[in-house]
Amino acid sequence: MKKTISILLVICMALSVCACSGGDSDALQKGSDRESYSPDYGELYYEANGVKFGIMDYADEVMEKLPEPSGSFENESCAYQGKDTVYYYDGFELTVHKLDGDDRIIGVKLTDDTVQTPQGLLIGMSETDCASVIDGLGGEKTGATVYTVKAGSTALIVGIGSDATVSSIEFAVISD
Amino acid sequence: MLFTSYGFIAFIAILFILYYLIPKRFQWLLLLCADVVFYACAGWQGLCFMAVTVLVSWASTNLMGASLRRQKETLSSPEGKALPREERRAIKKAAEKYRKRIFVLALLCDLGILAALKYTNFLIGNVNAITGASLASVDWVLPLGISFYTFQTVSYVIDVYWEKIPAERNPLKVALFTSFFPLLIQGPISRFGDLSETLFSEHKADYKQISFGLQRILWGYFKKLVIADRLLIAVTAVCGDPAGYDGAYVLAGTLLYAAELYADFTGGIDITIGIAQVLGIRVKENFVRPYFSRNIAEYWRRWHISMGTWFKDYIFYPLSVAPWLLKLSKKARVKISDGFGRKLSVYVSTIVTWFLTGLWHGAAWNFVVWGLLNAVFILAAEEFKPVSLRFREKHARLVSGFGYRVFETLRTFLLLCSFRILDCYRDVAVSFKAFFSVFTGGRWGELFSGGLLGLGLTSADFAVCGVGVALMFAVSCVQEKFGEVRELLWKRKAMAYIAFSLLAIIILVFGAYGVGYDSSQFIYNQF
Amino acid sequence: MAVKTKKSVKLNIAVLCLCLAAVAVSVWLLGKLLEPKYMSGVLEGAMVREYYDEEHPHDVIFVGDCEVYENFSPVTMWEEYGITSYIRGSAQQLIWQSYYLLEETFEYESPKIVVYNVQSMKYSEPQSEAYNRMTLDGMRLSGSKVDAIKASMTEDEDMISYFIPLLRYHSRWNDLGSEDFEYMFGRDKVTVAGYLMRADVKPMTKLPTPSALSEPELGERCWEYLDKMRILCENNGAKLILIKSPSLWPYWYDEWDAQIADYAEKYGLDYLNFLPLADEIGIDMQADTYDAGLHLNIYGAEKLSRYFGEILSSDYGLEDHRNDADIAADWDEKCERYYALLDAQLRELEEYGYLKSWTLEPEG
Repeated sequence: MKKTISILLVICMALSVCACSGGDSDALQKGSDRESYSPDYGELYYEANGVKFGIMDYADEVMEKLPEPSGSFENESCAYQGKDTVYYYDGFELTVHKLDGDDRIIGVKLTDDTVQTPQGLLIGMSETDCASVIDGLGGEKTGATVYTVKAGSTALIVGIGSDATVSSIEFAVISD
Repeated sequence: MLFTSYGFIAFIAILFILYYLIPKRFQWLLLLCADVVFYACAGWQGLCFMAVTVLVSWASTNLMGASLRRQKETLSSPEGKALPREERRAIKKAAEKYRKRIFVLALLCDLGILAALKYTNFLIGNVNAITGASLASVDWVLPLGISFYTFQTVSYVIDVYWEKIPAERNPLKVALFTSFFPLLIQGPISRFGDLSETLFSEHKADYKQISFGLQRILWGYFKKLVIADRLLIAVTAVCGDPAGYDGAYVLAGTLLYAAELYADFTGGIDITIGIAQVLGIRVKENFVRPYFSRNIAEYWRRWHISMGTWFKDYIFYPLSVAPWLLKLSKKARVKISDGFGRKLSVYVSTIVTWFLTGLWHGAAWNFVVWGLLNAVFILAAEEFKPVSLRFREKHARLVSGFGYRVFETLRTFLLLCSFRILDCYRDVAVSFKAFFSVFTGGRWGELFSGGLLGLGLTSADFAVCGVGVALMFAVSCVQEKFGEVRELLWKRKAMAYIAFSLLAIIILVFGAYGVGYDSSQFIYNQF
Repeated sequence: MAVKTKKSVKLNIAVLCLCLAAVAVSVWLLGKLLEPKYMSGVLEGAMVREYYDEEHPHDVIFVGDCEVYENFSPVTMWEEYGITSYIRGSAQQLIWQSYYLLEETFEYESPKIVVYNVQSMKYSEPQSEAYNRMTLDGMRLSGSKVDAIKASMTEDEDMISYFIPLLRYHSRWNDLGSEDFEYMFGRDKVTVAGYLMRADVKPMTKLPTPSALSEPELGERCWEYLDKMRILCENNGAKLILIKSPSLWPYWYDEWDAQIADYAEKYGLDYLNFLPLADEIGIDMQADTYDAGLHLNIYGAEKLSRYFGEILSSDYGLEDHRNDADIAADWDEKCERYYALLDAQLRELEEYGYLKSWTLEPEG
């Protein structure tokens, strides 16, 4: 009996090795405060009405400088988590997400060809022109129809349509 | 594997059961297997470094042991006894020289691994700062508990060299001594002579010992999970933002840190000693209610005792009787003054010891300054001893009163809190700035009108911590006055059962673990 | 003396066992007390466990996320066609969770049709601990539950806390409310046959522009589970129907649609994408949605259910159970609850302007 239990326990012990966690969890991550916040998007910002802004900026500070949005959309997922709000502006949309009690910008999406990004990207421009802009920014082709540039927590994602012109331009949070 | 992970709890539970099920002569081998499992969880590289350390210490001690045996055999044999005195002395000297060479090599190797892995970046940083060079820092793995097991091994090698203990012939036993897993996280730094008494022997399941061990483990988890890990949130908030939290916040942060560090470190040691006790192994105490100390020297006899005695036995004493220092001291007595010369060796030894103690805590200047501050205050206390004695004689009634005792205790406590600011902020300039801001920065009103609640803890959290700290204090008072609490409770077993069942439930409910809390590592396993 | 020692050892062990039992019971009770009840505000967490109260088997089982439990009304399908159906839905239900819920369902009954909404095919990795909890906590202990947990856990999660809820929810000691005590041992039903009713209306205005798809291929893990689901249904004699609910957001890409259609064709499954059929169904996003196009409200759900019910009864020949007295009695009770719930929601809408008891308080 003792022997059987011992063998079983040895097996359990061996299994518990597999269960042991590999990495050490980081020490408490302090949420960055508004005062100490500094953007990490480098050149990957957007500009509208003379206001420069980008991913993770505090939305209220940006939006008070922009004209009133023409509308909004609450992008709720099932139940309660991950509630994003999309604000509509002329030529672009701003996606805002609540993080630690503050609204932060997590997406800027161009909606038509009346506007262009400070980097010189425009909906409807040819793929070749787009590729040279992306190249200049240090980005690359990351999918059959997608170009991406990354800086800090920002990804500038450009989609190419079936007519070999730019069909979508979006600044988004890099997701791992 | 962290002490507070489910994996670890499952691991020790299985170990405890297996330990008493298998034939007793295999118990110590089971422990060695457990060590390998435990250490392998932290990465195989660490296991390799430890294996080197074990091998070096086993080989060196056995070579030294063999040499000593040979020397004794030769000298005590009839032929040896017949040799002329000079020749006998020459044989002894040659053997001693050989042992010394082995000893130095072993130390170089053991300490070399520690120094290379832990202090290379510190060295590179300082070289860069001084010479303006831009040497790249290295990214080497720091094996789990390397400072602890290296010091333990070094003490073993030294003890064998000093002929205090015989060399252990079985390399597996040396391996077990070096790697005994409960001690790897944060000590105590145990001596071979102490630990080997029970580590390798056969143990029968003893109901009381096992109960006491489990009770101590629970108490450790209470301190760690309910108090330390909760307070850590506020301490990290204050220390992580020295510009945002100055003035009164620094004092608040420091006091919270004092409670957190105590709960974390002594809690971890409770778990360690508790685990050992369940296994029937005696590990020396590492704390004797240190915050009740009335001066710094006393504090260091009661806090992290194993580290203090290590430095005392292997650095301070050998240094203070080192021939070169005695020579220097003699010279100073002649050339400068008799008094100065007498004190010189103690001064040098104290300063060097504390410099190294600081460096052992971390490869950074803040720890060095922290160590030196301790040295300065301990030496100053020594210098002012005559004044203090006169004062005590003059005010004997006052000094013997309870109030004065409390004053001394509080004074020592606050002084140590001030030193610990260096540990909180990990930067010398920032620490001093923070310290002075307590007196100049103000913000007292803000702190108590909601500021404390901005540190990540709710008032309910503070209440839990408050009750927890009060409980720790009460237990310490009982220990100080009546001795071990578990022994007292054991006399009324029903009470013991109820108390520890309740404690288990309290830990499960109020512990700061799981989703929503970041599991934090014991503060001391970085050292 | 030896007798006395033996006796005392026995006594000690007995007391120890008693203490351990007391701790275990306390842990269980405290877990019951501290686990979230989801009886108000966020109701989605209470849905999965309601299935076990079902008395009669169902012909149709739906699995999937909010696009099934908000968009289909089993009561309507019963009233119109006598179809018995149940929605084993949950918030952000991932495909492996759908699979294991289905596997568990087959342990209880043998549905003829299984309907899986393909929207969740876009997630091929575990997403969020909170959603995992809402789906998995309600499942009864079974092999399926263990497998579902294993498949769903995010990096920071521990398996053990799914079985000892106190380990997960202990930190709620500071947030306990009257609801926690009231529903400690029994909860109210929040759905009717798995349908989570919403009677409010928020017309659709403008939908955001969809992002460019950087990875058009649906994840490998999803296909793996879709295969498993298909085989599971085959082995249990059920027909698997793939659907895409007519929710307009999150955006359903043509690239994804084509992949699902190809898969369905390859294995001879039916795939119904309701998005292009919205007009035919009669869905009006000005009146039939409660959140501007993401989910249907009861009016939309009833329209969609009528449409789908017609397909199920005519194309799949599902039996009309309305003449079976036992089953009818059960569904009468469901209908009664359904309309009482609708009345209650309409009353709140009139009184507060929003569904106070069924949603989180609106911000601002």
